[in-house]
Amino acid sequence: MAAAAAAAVAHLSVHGRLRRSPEHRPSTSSSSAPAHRPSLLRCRAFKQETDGGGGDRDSDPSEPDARKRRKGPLYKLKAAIQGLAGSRSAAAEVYGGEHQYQRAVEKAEEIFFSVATQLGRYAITMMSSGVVLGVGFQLSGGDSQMNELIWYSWLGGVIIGTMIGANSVLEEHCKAGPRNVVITGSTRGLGKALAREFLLSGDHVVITSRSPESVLQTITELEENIQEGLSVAKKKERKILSHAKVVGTACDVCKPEDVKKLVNFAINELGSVDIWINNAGTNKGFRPLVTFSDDDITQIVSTNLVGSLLCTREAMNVMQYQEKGGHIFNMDGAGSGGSSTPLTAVYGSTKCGLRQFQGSLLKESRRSKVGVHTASPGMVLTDLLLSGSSIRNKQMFNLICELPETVARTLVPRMRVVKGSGKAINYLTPPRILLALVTAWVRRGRWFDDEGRAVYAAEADRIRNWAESRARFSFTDAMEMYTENTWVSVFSLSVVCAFIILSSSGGPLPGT
Amino acid sequence: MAATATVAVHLPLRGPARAPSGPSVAAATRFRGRQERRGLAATGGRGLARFRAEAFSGGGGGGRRDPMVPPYNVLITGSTKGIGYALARKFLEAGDNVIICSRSAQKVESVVGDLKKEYGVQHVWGTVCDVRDGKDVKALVEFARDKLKHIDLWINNAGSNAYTYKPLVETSDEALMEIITTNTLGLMICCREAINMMRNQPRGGHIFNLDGAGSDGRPTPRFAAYGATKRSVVHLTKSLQAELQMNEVNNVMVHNLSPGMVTTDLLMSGATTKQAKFFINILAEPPDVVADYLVPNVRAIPTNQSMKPTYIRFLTGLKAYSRIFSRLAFGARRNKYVTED
Repeated sequence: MAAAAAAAVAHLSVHGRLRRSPEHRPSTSSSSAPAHRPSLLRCRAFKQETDGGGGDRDSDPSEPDARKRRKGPLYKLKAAIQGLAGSRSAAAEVYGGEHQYQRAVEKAEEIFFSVATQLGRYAITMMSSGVVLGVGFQLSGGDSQMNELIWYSWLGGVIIGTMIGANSVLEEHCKAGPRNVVITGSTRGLGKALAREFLLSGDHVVITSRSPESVLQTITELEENIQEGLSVAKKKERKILSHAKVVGTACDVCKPEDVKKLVNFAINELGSVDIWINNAGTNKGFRPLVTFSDDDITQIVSTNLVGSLLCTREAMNVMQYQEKGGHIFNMDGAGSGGSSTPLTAVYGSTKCGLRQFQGSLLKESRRSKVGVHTASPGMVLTDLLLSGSSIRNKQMFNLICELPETVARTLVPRMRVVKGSGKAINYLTPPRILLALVTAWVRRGRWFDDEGRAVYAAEADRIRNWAESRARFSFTDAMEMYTENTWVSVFSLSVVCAFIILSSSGGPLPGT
Repeated sequence: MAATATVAVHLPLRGPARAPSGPSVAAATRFRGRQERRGLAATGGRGLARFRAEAFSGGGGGGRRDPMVPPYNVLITGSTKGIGYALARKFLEAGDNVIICSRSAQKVESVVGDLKKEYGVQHVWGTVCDVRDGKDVKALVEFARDKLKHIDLWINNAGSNAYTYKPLVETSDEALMEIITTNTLGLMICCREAINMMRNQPRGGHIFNLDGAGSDGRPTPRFAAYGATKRSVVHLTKSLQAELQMNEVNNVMVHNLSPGMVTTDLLMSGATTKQAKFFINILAEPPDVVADYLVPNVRAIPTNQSMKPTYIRFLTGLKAYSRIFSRLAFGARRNKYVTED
């Protein structure tokens, strides 16, 4: 009771702070009118809420043009082009003011930029597939007759790839905007890292944990992270970041009434729930079953199994009546795959049960709008793993473990764009495992030295370094700009086309 | 720090305190242990095999164990009705001593009364025990010690589906709690107490966990919670086998027991859809038939002095498919238990 009240007081929104501190940065647009727009950030931040319907209480009365904003970017693009091409006054008529005109230009620029980005990606993809084909052809010692066919097939691949790409771009466009995310057990370890990553993607996040104090503490901490992120972010990211909002409440996931309260809290604060992550899990050290007390077993089973079941049920209850549906993620752990987990028998068997549960849910929710998925973080350096681990284990951890931030950074983008139902989002994919094995020698002493002392930085330092490295361009980011499907489909399609053309041309194929 | 913790962890699992008769024996034990370890390391593959390295010189060596001879002392949880009751009867028929238990005192009393009349006073005992409660299970162990001195076969049969078959979204809090606490929590507590009791017995012991729908990992829509708990039971068995082996406790063995589909209240309460009726008619068997098959197989394990983990299945895949075939081809077993439309 008191916990919920305290958490409600603790609800702070980031854009609230932004409102108080108007930005002073040079406008990058070519028509450099020195107009600072503190209101721009604000209205963007509320866009999702008005669209989502329901959560509209916060609407600022100082925005008379709230209705005009809903007309969509295409309309604005048109108006902006009119404005650019013709007279300024034409645009001014539409928007009724210099500020609005500025905003239209901003908007148009943004749209133009995103279109250009997509076109650039498209061109690069097509070129690269062409290069791959050409190189392959040269390597296989092609003759001039076949050369022509290869390029026809490439053209076919390009056309089909375009269709697929257009589809995915459209989908991405429709799905833009902040998500409402609930993460259970998110004041420590992986849950916290996930929450942070969602926030940095500009989402609204509800964090929970059993203790109200740690919820409060985590909220302040995450808000500091957002502020830090804002201070280093560039213009576009800043806009995205300004949507971010974190609220929290205390909730014991194995108590039905607590879970119901959590759902109500999330609905009241955010209006709807798009993504629900059942992250809360516990393990009481690595030891044989006979040394576990009744309380230990009860706690593990009720957090891992009862908690996930209750949360899933409540989340489905809410999501199936939402217009957009929703997605539920259950976290995998050791034992999910069915291999035995000695010394963590209780934990392993609950996780194994959850995997079967996922299958049943998938069948039950086949016709509903709710997607049920699993997310597998692999081995993460959190308290759950490190409690009661020996030196030898730590040597192994060096090899395959990752920091929670790294894992969250990979999982979150995939969770945000997940479609359908029954997807598995894994961190430890075969290429990563292979990489770990290949670089095993380098990875010695990565997290723990020979005596088992931790050599990695404390969380706060890690976050700081990591926020800086985020702002820089990295190759992996560029790779992740493409969805995996795009790569696979474009390449395989061009290969298939090549095969079809080669086989249909028939006739005198040399060398066969 | 970590090393001492590990040692402490392994201490309680050591076998019965039968002092080794001198340094040579100790050395021999150690040597044997090391060899075994090497062999296991060679087979490799098991992720946590390294834990084994710390487990040193176990007790209860195979040669020193007292042989298990009939009559066996059998303990069956949740045995006042359904498959548990049928198993108890079969064991009694085979001449074993049986302890039955269940949540309801009234039922235990009447069932024990009936069985005593039929099989004699000195073969069957009963007590009240809620497997979800650690204290109750400890009391059950004390009761068994008091009546029978030791237990050879411990059968974890108690299980529940709260007699509901609904999508998860419609399942009530109480039903979810009952299913999970009985099937998973209760079973874990029973396993813990059973291992604790048996590893100090000269004859060792065998634990049998009953599986159920979903334990092969296949989805179980309409009873998702039950399926998840049964899947976790099979996994627990597997983990315990590995754990006991790792700690070189080789006088206690954990097995799985699969009764298949049995026409008990638990199953029949779900005979509401066409599909369910179809499969119940084809595949289900009354408890007596299942117990007829299972009990001799269970008793064969101590008789053969086998110390390998087993998975005794009544309804094997071959049997199931041949029955489905005969139903589809000849219409066999139509309307056997429930009328189909």
